[in-house]
Amino acid sequence: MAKKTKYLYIKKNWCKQCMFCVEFCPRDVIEVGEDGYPRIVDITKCRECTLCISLCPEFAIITEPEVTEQLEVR
Amino acid sequence: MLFYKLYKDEQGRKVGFLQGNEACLEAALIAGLKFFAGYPITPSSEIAAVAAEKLPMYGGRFIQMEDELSSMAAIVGASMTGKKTMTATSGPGFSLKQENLGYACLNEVPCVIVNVQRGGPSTGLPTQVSQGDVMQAKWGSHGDHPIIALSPSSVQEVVELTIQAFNFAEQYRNPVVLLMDETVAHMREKIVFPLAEETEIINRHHSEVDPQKYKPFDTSFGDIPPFENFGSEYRYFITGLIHDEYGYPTTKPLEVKNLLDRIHRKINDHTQQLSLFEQYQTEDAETLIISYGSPVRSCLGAMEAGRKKGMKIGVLQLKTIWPFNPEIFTKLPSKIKNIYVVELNMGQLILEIERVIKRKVNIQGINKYDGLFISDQEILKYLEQQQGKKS
Amino acid sequence: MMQDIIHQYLRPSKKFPHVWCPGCGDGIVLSAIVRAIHSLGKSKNETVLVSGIGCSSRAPVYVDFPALHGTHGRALAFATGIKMANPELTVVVITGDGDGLAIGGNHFIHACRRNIDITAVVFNNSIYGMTGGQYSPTMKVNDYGATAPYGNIERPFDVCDLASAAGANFVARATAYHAIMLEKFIKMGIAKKGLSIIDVITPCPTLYSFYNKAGKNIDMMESIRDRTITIQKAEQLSDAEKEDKIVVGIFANRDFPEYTGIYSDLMERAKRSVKDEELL
Repeated sequence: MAKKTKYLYIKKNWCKQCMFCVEFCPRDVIEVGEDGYPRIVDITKCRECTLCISLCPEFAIITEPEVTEQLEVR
Repeated sequence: MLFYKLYKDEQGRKVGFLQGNEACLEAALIAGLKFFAGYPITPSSEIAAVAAEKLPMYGGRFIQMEDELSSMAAIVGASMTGKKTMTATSGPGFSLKQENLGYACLNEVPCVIVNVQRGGPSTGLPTQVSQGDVMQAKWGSHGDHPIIALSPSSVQEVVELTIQAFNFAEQYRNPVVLLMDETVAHMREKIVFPLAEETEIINRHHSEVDPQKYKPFDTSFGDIPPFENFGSEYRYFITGLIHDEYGYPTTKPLEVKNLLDRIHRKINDHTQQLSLFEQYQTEDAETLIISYGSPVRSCLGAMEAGRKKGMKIGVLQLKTIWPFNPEIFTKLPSKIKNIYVVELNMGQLILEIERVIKRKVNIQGINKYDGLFISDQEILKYLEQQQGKKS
Repeated sequence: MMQDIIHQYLRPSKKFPHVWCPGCGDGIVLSAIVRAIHSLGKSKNETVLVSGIGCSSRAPVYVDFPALHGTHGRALAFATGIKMANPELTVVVITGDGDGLAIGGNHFIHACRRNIDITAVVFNNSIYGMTGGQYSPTMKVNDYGATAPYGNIERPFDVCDLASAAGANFVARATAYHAIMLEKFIKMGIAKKGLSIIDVITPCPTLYSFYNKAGKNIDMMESIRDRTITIQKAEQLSDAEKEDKIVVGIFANRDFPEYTGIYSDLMERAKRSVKDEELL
């Protein structure tokens, strides 16, 4: 099976800026953006450990483009 | 261990010499009881004991919970799975049940709560009769909530009203309180249980809507929304918070008001259908005795004895206490000059009766609250004294 | 990806974001519960969530299962009724430390004693969040709260010791930070026949932090991470050394008979004891 392209999306209107994802990412893939919300710095550094997703209390981190599309309307 | 035996009469009906408590559970089985949760309390204990023995024979389940609060919670939870459920208690336990009784009213969860009334307040008179919980049945849980309460005066009526209680609960999606009293609960009488074909059993009203579109408190079906079981393909949320049609918490004033209006309307608009009562010799009566529960027996005795002495006495028995039906009282024959309300408390339902009777008539309470049952002679004596005063 | 499976379980008709404060652990625990249910292949229709009252107990409104948000402390009592009436259902209770152990303490020990097949997840933040930060039965001595202005003088319950002593089949503790471990324990708990208690230490960065000057979201989460030790490690420490530690792991994993199963056997015996014509 071909390896899927890495994808990480932060749904800002659900995020409450707790910054767990920024703080606990072991590879510094996520940082605080200028708008105060987390943003992806470099997806290629991500090893898909999924810690950010497990630790996101807001269910605001999405790993599939289709899910992003589905949820964007909400 | 059961302390009674059932036999078959010529028509095939089950007959036996039963206590009110025993008859209550037997009738509940006829109505389709499948889950009972309770906590030991006198004088309702026999109901739970019979439930523990008989329910598993019928494919039902019994549990003795750790307290009254949890037994009420358990029957509400069990009812959510579509089962007919019941608990039984007495005054002190009824006080504790109020929390989740209110929950059941708000979420419109059908269930039956038997309260075998004993003397109060507090621990009161555990083995003696009272009717002190009449107002508690209506107002016991906090906040405005709708309630149905029935009160039997004989063991045969326990059978009739227990089945009726389940039917009302399912039909109106509301908890029903069966207000028994110690006398009717412990009295033994010959009882004839109706045959299946003689008994109307009402079951829960289900919707046939698409599960995706189902709303547990949908108002488009009228005031009584269809009920779907937990475990079915209908998934929904219920809460003790004021909720919208989906069951989600809301504080929007209009949604709050609409919900409270509807749950009351669904009972109040059916007061006539819910109102069960009997009239005895009221056509020519000048004196009317109003009562409910076991004292009705003594009232009928007083009526017969009084009539022999030429007193024109009639009796009005209320089987449905709540919702209170004012129409019964506004339609009373105009010959009636004196109304006596017999209650084994300090005067509770008389307040409602005084409230609804607008015409000029003498209304007095005959109240007994010393733990003893009221006799026909006591009632008659009181009536004669009152008549003596006037003449 | 499995880890964000919760998006397939959110109620379609419910609005987000949810009610919890920024940095609250409750959302983390809820997604762990959903992952555990999902990985066991349980159907949405036949998994019932039951909760009491409090911050944690708001969880079931967000996820698409049949759910009952009950009265304060009574979650296990409602759940017992549901499980007894339909033993086919998987019942998961979501409760808090105040809800489950103070006002619901009696139901807690008796559910453990009966060992009924329910999994209860205790969101343990040692404070009453929704009512304004009062001390709870799991708050440490000398911590502060709205009703403990001079420091808490009451000794806390150890949720796991209590549940083990009361007879629950599966007892474990994890934290909101150790979300993968937490998911594993919840999964084991649901799979276990009998009562399972999973005590989850979770941060309250709003009220606990306010009264105890415990810092911001990340400070609280880091503190939980740094204070956590395993049962094996704890065995090597003295009581004084363990004072401030969070001991995680499986405290009980055993196979006492389960209540609804015993009751089903009883029903068979009861049915055999009567002749058909005796039944109405």
